Amino acid sequence: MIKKPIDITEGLNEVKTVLFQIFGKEYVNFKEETKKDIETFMRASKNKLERWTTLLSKKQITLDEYEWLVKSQKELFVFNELEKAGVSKMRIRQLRKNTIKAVLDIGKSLVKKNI
Amino acid sequence: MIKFSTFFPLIGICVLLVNCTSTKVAAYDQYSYERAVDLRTKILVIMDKATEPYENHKEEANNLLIEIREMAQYERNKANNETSSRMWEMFEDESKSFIGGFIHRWNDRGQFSPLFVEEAKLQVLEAMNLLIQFELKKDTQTKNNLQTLILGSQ
Repeated sequence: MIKKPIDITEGLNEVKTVLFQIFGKEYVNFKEETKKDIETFMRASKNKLERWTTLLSKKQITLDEYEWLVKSQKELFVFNELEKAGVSKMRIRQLRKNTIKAVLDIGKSLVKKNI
Repeated sequence: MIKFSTFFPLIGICVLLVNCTSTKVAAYDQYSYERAVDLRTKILVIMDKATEPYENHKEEANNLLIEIREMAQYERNKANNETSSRMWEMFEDESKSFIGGFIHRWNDRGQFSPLFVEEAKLQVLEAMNLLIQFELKKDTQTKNNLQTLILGSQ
């Protein structure tokens, strides 16, 4: 019996469509960023998805295990987004602190000049 | 020349911005960092055993889940710690594909294929590394805050 080989490109496109749907809903106001993030995710995931699909086609992992791995990759993406958001928060806070320091420094110099 | 009357409201706005809670992030916590590194090792050790029947390692797996839940609880109780707290939550959640979900499924399926375990370990390790790196980034933030405080008081 001739087995039809698994079309990896088609599979990856499907994953991409599903991700746009999932993250598009969650980040309605950040469509452009989401698009870029998903592209990055797809590039980073391509090798893994290809490897897992090959393992599945060779029956070295079960369909159930394959699903778990693909889901974990999607969740890793969320994990990455969480980390990035947390780091941005830290940066914004630092920026605000630097701003107030600059304003206070100007204030101090103004006081000195006027005393 | 800038007048005092125009300058003071600006200072007020800056103070409000700095104290805005939405951008506050908990300080670096040495305990969190050490526990996360320790748990990373324990998680990888238990995952290696998932090629054997779950029943043989049930107690070990349950103990590990308890440790992870304790850690998630610890992170939840810290103020301004949403990111780390959410990460630990996802990590322990049995419906997610991280360690909580892995152990839950191991219990359901009995055992896994060696190749799957290797791939799953890489996924969990990547998530764990992100979590640890995030804690370390808080260290840089804490250092910056201390530096500002020290230099500011000079």
